[in-house]
Amino acid sequence: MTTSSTAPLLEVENLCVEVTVVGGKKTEPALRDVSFSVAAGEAVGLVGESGSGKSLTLRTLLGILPAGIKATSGRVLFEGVDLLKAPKRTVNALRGTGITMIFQEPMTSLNPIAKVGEQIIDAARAKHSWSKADARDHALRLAKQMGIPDPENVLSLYPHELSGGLRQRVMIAAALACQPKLVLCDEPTTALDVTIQAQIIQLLAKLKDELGMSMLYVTHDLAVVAQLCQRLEVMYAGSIVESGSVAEVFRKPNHPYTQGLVNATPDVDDVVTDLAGIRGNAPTLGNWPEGCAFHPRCDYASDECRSGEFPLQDVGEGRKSACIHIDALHRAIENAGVR
Amino acid sequence: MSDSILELNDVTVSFMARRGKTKTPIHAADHVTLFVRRGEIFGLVGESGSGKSTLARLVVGLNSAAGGSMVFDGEPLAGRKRSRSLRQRIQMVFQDPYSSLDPRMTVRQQLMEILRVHDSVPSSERDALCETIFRRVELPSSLLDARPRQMSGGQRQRVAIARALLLSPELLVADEPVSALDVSVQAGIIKLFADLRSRLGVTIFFIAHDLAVVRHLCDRVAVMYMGKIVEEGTTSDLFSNPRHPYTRALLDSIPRLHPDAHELVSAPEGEPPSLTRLPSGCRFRSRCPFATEKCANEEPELIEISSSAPDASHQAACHYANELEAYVGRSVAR
Repeated sequence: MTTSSTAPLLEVENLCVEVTVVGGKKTEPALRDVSFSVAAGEAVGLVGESGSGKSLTLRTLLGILPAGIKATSGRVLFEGVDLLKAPKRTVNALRGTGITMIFQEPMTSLNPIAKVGEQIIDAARAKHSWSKADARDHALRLAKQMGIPDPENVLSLYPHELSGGLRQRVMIAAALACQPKLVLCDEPTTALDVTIQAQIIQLLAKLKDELGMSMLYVTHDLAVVAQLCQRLEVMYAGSIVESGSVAEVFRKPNHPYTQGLVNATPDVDDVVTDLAGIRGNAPTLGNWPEGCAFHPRCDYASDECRSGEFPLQDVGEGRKSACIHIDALHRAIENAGVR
Repeated sequence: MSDSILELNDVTVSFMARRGKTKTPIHAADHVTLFVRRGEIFGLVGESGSGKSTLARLVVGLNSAAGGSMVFDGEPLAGRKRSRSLRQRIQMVFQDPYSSLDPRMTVRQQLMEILRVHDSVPSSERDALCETIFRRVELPSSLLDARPRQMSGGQRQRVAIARALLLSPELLVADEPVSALDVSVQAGIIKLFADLRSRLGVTIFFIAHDLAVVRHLCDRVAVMYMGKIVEEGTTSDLFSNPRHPYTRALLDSIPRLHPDAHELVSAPEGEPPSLTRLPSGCRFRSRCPFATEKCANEEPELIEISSSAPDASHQAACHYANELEAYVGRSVAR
């Protein structure tokens, strides 16, 4: 239960994460001053390209950062409890029942030598004092809810005997076995074919409505966010550069990077508009430019952008942006039109 | 086809699938017939396991066919055994520029090795050629002496394209060349392919799973499902008037950037069958909303769509291709 009706389920405040560079004592920032929140029942998209820090954000929330990477400041409040400071026991108790995660690659996150049914049952029994038979019934119910055909049979198979789509359904079942309130999704459809991706999107939308669970959905695919999320946060070089409602942000981006992503996404219904990439390449960890990290690739950058800090600012209508040239961007969008 | 550079006639590519002690042949590409016109960008789309990469590898000579024949520029084209000059005329760009470049050689060394092996360019002109090719793929010549790990994914893919262009091929086979790239970089590579075709006149056989990319780039498209071509036509015909239920299912499955309120993608039922246990008749019938008894009994052949223009062939392998209602795009209310 949330502590008060208005407090969000998850609140991330000024989170900073650092990576120890291999072979050295130096550290490099990997997340810089990341703040966002997810309300109960809300689905929030976290988008950005490879290396932007979106998966790292999820791992920080769940406390499963690899060795050499750690959160150095900020707070991760889940129902008012700071997960960065809370004792390990508290965080462990929350995994599965409070927060859970669906990974991109079900083949590597499922145990290859255990039957998938056992894995769902284990997940359920980890947090419930259920008998094996009760847990098995629960697993069967979950499998049906996940749209797994012939569930009795499928649950008795090993992961390698299943297709990619079925494996992903099994992983979602295991993740939801203890009725979590917040589901972290790390590109769960990226490795799937488009028809199977569509099935999983339908499943996640259905589960979200039926179970009222909150979602934090990491992807590089803006269109998938448009399907599942109400709000989105756009990440670039370890910082959030724009946030707002999905429809508004795609209609009229408040950051040149977001606009760049929208213009670079090929639209299957639109053959008139030319695709436009973003010039240059996304910077890699340890090579983030001074000032606004996007300035070397930005059409609107001025001298001001080359140094200093560019925190996420309120720009009205529930939207935030880290760009100081929004007016110029909007003038350009109005002249050229954004898709 | 008089203007075709490549023809595949009834081509089958088989592999042996081992199950316990028994070996059964599976046909990754099953009686495929298609042609590619000189100077066009031909798109081949399908999901994993559809056989599109198998065909790509067959065309460049990395697979051999179990049946059927190929014609390249009017001459019969063998599967694997090819003369050096023929290999020079058909070049390939792979999906993953990380694994298809040698990590220990500089880019210049890799390009020089190719020029040395083929020895069609005098050694005094080779350096200049490398720089010309680099300009063509919009890379700074300073990167010629870099190693792949010092480059970004987009730069590496440009190097892979440069390597394929080095011998001035007539046909470029590109197997999912943009799938591994970030979207901001992908757009630049797509434009590069379009640019290469118009400036060099090179024919491009473009394999992809992303229909949006294909629609933006290709002149004609073939859709594959489980080793068969199910629909083929000009890009505008195929996308505006898809006649095979599978093509429609693919289009309906694509999430849109600006969905109408409460619109959710629609998905076909079930999953693709295994190539070792194909359904009788039409391979798509297990997932097809229009399937009838006829579909279980008779395998559909590609038939000409009655509304297609006389000079632009549009074919679909569905018994009901000419009877399906007009395509409007489907979405389910949430």
